[in-house]
Amino acid sequence: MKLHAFAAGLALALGSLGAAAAGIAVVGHPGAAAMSKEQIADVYLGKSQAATPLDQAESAPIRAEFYTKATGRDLAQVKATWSRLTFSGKGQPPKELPDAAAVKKAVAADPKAIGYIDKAAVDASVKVLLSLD
Amino acid sequence: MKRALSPAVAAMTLALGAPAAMAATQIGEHVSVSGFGTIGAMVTDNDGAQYRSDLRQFRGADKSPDLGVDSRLGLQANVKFNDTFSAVGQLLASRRQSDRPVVEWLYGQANLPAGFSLQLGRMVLPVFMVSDSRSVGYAAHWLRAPQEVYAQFPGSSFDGGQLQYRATLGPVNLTAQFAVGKTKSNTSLLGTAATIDFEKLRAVNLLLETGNWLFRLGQSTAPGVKVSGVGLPPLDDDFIGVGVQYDNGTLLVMGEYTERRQSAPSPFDADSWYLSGGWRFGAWMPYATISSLTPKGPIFGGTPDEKVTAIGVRWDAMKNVAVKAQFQRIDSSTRTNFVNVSPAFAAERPTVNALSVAVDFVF
Repeated sequence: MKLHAFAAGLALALGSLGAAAAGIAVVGHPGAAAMSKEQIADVYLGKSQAATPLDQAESAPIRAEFYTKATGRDLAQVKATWSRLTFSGKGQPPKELPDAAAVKKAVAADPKAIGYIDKAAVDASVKVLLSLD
Repeated sequence: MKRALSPAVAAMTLALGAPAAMAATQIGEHVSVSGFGTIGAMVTDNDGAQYRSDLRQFRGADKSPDLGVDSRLGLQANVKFNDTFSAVGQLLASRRQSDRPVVEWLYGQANLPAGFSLQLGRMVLPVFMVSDSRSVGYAAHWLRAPQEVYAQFPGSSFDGGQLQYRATLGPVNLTAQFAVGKTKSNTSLLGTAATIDFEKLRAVNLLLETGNWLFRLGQSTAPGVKVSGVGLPPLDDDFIGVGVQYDNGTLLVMGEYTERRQSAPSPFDADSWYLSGGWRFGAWMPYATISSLTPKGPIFGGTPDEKVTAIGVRWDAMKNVAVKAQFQRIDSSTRTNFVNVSPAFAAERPTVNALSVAVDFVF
């Protein structure tokens, strides 16, 4: 009995580990070149115009996870960064799209656009520019 | 009734009334409207003079709490006509000589090939590292920029043109700005209402960003600056500034150093610097700033350095809202950050303790 409970617990733990390890894919147009984490952080923090960044909804868990992994900053810090850029006329924050499907569609249609989606959502319409685990 | 809109009241009304609308509003495909504001209160332990956050303020905080030193409200509209042409307008209500909202910025921008862009109209005066967002409290860790450095330029925007170049070279992001124009400010200077008129202003601003680092170098020059009301000849003004910032997401350290040199009798010559650092613990960020102004000219000549120590904390209380508190020890030797100075205060030059609290928001 005890062993069963242990096994179940272990399975659950491994399962959640598996889900967490699925990770995030930064995706771009099929013709786009791969990017480094630093380049992606620069684009999403408004320091570089090398690509056009796209966001997912503010309430989507993947958004907070993406910024933590790619830039080391939480959403409040990212908002402060973009408010500096917005109110100095230097740029507008990334356009917000409702879900991974919308991100894939936008990225497939624009060679400069990049977005982030769950790795499980990656398909042939987009190219993985960087994996964040 | 000549009573103009009070920035504090306007900011408060908006903050209380519209928390639901806390996001930039897109109007159609081409126009987005956004805003920022601060509701701040400040109190000091000295009734002999009033502390202010801008040379254009004619009153400030003393032993009775003051809501006007830091409170402000800004509204901005961005219009994107196409990939080449855009326009930005910003209305700002804050305490200056009058409380009336002013057109802080209104300019058109054309994106040119190869990373160049051209701006024409009224825009930010790029003389400091964070000049561009000085009034956006939410964007900064501190409650207000150190006045020993930032109060040295009376104006915050200029009318003219600017050529901007942005490029990414490997891991380095470069921004260069070349600005030409004019700016005029109504200030209270040494107890007198004085208009400071930069008729021909040229400024260069270079920013280099790489990884967590930001380096900044800037210079502005203006021949024949007219200062009315205090009996000075036109002054040739030269102002340089360097700055460094490091921010890895947890640790923030930044500092700036400036030098002002003018033609004879070079009344306002001064060196200044600040160093500020903070550490983020989740939504909380304690910080400390030390700043200094060393007068080199005859107006404040012979007075010792003015030193200010500030400690404070920023709390990201909720989405788009930050709450801050800051305690300062202000050594008042040059008195530039004080108005309505009593003779006793001027003679004694006391150390003033000040407490400020603020709520910053963006929408």
